[in-house]
Amino acid sequence: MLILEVIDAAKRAGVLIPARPIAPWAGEPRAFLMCQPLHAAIVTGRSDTDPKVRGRWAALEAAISHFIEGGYVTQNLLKQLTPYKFEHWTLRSTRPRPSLRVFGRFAMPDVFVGTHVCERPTLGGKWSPQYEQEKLVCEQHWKAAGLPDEPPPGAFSSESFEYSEYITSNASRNVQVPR
Amino acid sequence: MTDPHYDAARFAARNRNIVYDTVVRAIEDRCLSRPGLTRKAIAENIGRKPSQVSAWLSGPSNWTLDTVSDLLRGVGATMEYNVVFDEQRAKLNRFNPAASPPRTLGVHSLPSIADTGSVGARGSVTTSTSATLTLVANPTTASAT
Repeated sequence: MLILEVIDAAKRAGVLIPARPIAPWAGEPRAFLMCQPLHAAIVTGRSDTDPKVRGRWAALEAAISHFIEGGYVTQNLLKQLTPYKFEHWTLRSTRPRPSLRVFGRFAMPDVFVGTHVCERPTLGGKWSPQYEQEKLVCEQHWKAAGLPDEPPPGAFSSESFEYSEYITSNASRNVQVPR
Repeated sequence: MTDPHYDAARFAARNRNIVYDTVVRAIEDRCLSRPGLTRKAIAENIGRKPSQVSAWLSGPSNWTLDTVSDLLRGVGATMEYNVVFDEQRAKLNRFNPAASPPRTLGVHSLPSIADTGSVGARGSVTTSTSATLTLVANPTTASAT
């Protein structure tokens, strides 16, 4: 089954929800699809009684919208976690605190599936049990959405990767300003 | 139902992201055309530490208008500003097929953030219609249907 058909079926079933740009005039050259846990977290955060908490989630939505609208992306926003072969990514929304991490994967170039979101302080350091656990949770949500276990064959390499394999335009792994 | 404060916060964050985009891409272009221009040189030009410049370049979350001014001053540039009213903006017609509504559903049953009230601006304009048009116009989607 073509991945677009899988995605379409998941959208019909309501298990993948397309995020929309903030501005009504914006195009959507990229797609950001939310699994239910991520969508629910945003809806909950948006209705929090504390304006600071709401502002926190507004910034996350702006980061998602930035991706959708085709804004410049570096790994300061969207980073693949090591080891690359497992295809775990995080969308990083660092301010206001607490910093948030949206876990997810690319279903195909320019199409990101966000599975769930965690506050960065709860994750511990790199390779912490909590971090590794959330990678597994990401995989569970991915499978629950009916998406294939592996990325499309030949689409991505497993040992190293080019950022442009995932985000085809207006993206660079690092900001290109020499030190 | 939309929350004006929430929408304003999202638009503020969006604007900050756009300014970051514009400034960083301009600095990158400048560094490409002038090989000696580095983060260290930019920092020296504005009396800052290179680490501060790197922190600014890593993301827009702490940016203020002064940040924009400092960074552009560091590369010998300045920002020009224009105000464009929303209704005067042309709507972009670039859509990813994966973001389109499910093909068997009408656009009004699309489950999205807009439906739950977060995208008030989008919900209040002719939004989903353009997505429908794209389903027809986009060659990839057209061939899939």
